[in-house]
Amino acid sequence: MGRSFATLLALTLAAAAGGAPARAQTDPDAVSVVSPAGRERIAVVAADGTEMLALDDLARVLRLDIREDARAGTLSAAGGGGTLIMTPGQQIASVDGRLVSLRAAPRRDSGRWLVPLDLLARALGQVAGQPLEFRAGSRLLLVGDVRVPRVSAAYRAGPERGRLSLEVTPAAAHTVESEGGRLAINFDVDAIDLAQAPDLRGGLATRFGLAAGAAGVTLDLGPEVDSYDVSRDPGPGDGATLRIDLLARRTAPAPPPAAARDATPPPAPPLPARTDLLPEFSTGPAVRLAVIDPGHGGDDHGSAGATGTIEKDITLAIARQLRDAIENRIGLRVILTRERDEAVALDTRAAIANNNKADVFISLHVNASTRPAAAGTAVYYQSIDEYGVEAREIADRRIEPVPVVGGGSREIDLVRWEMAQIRYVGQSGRLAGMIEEELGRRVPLSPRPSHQAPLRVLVGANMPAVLVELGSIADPDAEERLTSALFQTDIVDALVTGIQRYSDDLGRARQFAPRLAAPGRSADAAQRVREQ
Amino acid sequence: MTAATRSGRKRRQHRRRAIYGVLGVVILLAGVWAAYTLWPPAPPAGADPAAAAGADRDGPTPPGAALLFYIDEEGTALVSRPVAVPAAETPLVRARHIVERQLEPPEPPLFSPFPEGTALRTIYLTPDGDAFVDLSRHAAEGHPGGSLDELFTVYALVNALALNVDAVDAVQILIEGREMDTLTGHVDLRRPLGLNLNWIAPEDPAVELAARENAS
Repeated sequence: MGRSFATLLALTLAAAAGGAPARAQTDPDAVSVVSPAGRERIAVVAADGTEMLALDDLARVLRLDIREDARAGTLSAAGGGGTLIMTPGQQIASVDGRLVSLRAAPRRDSGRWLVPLDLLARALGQVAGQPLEFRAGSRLLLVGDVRVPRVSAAYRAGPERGRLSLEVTPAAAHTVESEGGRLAINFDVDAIDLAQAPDLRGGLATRFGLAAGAAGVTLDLGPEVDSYDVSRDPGPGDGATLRIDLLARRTAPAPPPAAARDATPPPAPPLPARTDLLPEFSTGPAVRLAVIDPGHGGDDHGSAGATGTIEKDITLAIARQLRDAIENRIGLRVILTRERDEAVALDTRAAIANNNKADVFISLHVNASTRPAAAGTAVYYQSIDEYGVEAREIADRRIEPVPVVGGGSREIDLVRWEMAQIRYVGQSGRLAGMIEEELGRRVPLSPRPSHQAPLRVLVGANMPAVLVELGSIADPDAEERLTSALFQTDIVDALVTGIQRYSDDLGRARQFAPRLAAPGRSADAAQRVREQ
Repeated sequence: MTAATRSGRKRRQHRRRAIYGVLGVVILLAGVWAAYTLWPPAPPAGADPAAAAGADRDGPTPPGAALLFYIDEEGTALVSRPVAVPAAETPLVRARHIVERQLEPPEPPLFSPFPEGTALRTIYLTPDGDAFVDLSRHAAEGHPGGSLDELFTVYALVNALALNVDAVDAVQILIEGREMDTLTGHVDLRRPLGLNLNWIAPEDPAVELAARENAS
C-alpha cells in the first residue's frame, strides 16, 4: 500500500514537473550530420507528434553558443552568422530580427532544450555562418563545404542479365572493385545521399547496401553471376548514370541422346560480347522521358501556409518522390527542372524539357485558397484562345511530311518558341484527364478539377504538358495533408499511374496509326484516328 | 546689281536653307528622343495617346450599374455583383471608374480577388480595343499565389472591363508601369486577355449578359 502510494506520488510529481502534455519518446530515425570533420548522428525525439532535436546536440555540431535569459524568458543560439532567439512556449523565433514560424515551440525535456526539426531549414542556416543544407527526405544535415551527391538506384532483372543503374547528381568520380562476391562502388565524395534503393527481386544480385563510410554502395552477387561490365553516361543535368551489367553463367547443354553421341557436336553459339548493352526489357514505351517541374524555388517561395509550410518545399519534396517512383516502377527516365532550392526562370523550365526532348512535362504547384471547398487537387493544361488567330492556325495546321537526307520523311513545322505548346493541347488534355481520374481515386479533388488556362510555364513546352495543383496550402487541413507522407504517397501514386496510362494509350494509338506517330500534333492525330 | 552680288545672295540663301534643314532634323530627333525617354510612364506599344487623353469612342455613358467580379464564399468561382458606377464622358473614364470600383473590397461573404492595397496607377485604351491597366506593386507582391487565385485576380479585372466597357475587348495588366510575365508565376500576362467565362459560376447573370452581347 505504502509502495503504491509512493509510486503514484512520484508519477504525479514527475508529470507536474515535466509540464508537458505528453512525454517525449526516442525516435530511432536520427538525423545524420555530414561535415568536413566526419559523420555523426543526432537523435530525434517525437513530442506531441512533432520531431524535435536536442539544442545542445545542434550546438555541438554547428558550434553555437547557447544562452538562457531567465529575466527575458528567452533562449538564444549564437553562431558565426547571427543570433537566433526563441521563446519557450512560442512557435515564433527571431533570426537577427527576422521572424520565422516554427512547427512547434521549444520545450525542455529531461533537462535538455528540444527544438523542432524544421528549425534546421528555416533558421539555422543563417545563424551557423557556414553552408547548411537539410535534406528532409534522407534526413541528412550537410554542414560546411561537403560533397554529398544524391544517388538513386534502380535494378532491372532479365533472364540471364541484370542491370544496376545508379543516377548520381551531381556527377562524381567512381571506382568499382570486386572482392569475395561483392562489388564495392565508391565515389570520390564525403558521403552519398541514397534516395532510392533498388528492388533486387528476381535478379542476379542478392543484396544492396550502403558502403562503410557512406561514400558508396555495395552489391552482393549471386553464385550464377559470371562477370560484370561498367558503363557511364552523362546526364541528366549535371548528373551521371553509372550502369553495372551483370551477366549470368551459361548453363551447360543437356546431354545428347545416346544415338547422337557420335555425331559431330554443333558449334556453340558465341558468347555475347562483354560490352554489349542490355536489350530493352520492354517493347518501348511511348513515353520515355518525363520532365517534372517543382514549382517556384529560391527567393520565389510560392504560396505559404499558416504554420510556415511553403510551396517551393512541398513541390520539390513531391517531385523527388515522383522521380524515384517513375524510374523504379515504370522505368522511364526523369529529369527535374530543379534539384534543390534555387530560382529557375519559367522559360528555362520549359527549355529543359525541350532540350532533352521530353515526352511529357508536369509542373507541380500548390494553391493558396483559404476556403476548404477549394482546397482539393486540380489539373490544368494550356488554353489556345488567349493566343489569338495565330495560335488557332497552328493548332489546326496540317503538317505534310517532307523527305530528309538518308531516306524517309519527317514532319517539320515551324512554330514560335512561345507557341510550342499549342500543337499539343489535345494530348495535354488527355494527359490531364487521366491524371485527374487517378487523383480522384486517391485524394480530394477541387470542385472543378480540370481547367484550361493561359499558363506561362506550359506555353513554351514542346510536348504534352500539364500543371498539377496538389492542394491548397492556405487551408489548415489541406496544409497538414500536404505535409503528410501518406498524402504525398497518394499523389505520387496517382501521377505515376496517370503517366503510365497515358504512355500505354499513346502506344496503342501509334500502333493503329504508325505514320502519324511522330511527336507533336501527329500524336493528336494518331489519337483521333484511334478514336474513330 | 552685278552678277557677283546676285551670286553672293544665292550662296547666303543656300546656306540659310541648309542651316534651317539641319535645325529641323535636330528638333525632330530631339522630339523623338523625348517621346521615347521622358514620357512618364511610357505607354505600351500600340496605345493611342489620343485615347489615353480621353478620346471618345462610343460617347458618354449615363450613371448606372456595372457587373463586377468577386470570389464566391466557397472560393471556387467568380461571381458578379451589380455595382453603381458614376457617369463617364469617355470610355477611358468609364474604364477608370470600373477598375477603381473593382479594386474596392466587396460585402461579405464575398472575397476580393485583389490583394489589399492594390491601386490603379493609370489606364490606356487603344483604338483596337485593348486596355492596358497599370496596377500598383501590391497586386503582385501581396498576392497569396496559386494558379486558381491568380486566375481569379486576372479574370475579375479582364471580365469587368471587357463586359462593361464597349470600347474594351481585351485587357493587359501592367505592374508599376511594366509588362509582367505573370503575377505570381502562373498566368501568362504578356498579351491582352479577352473575356473568359470559365471562372464564373455557370448560373451567374454575367454569363447570360455575355451571351446576349455576343449574339448581338
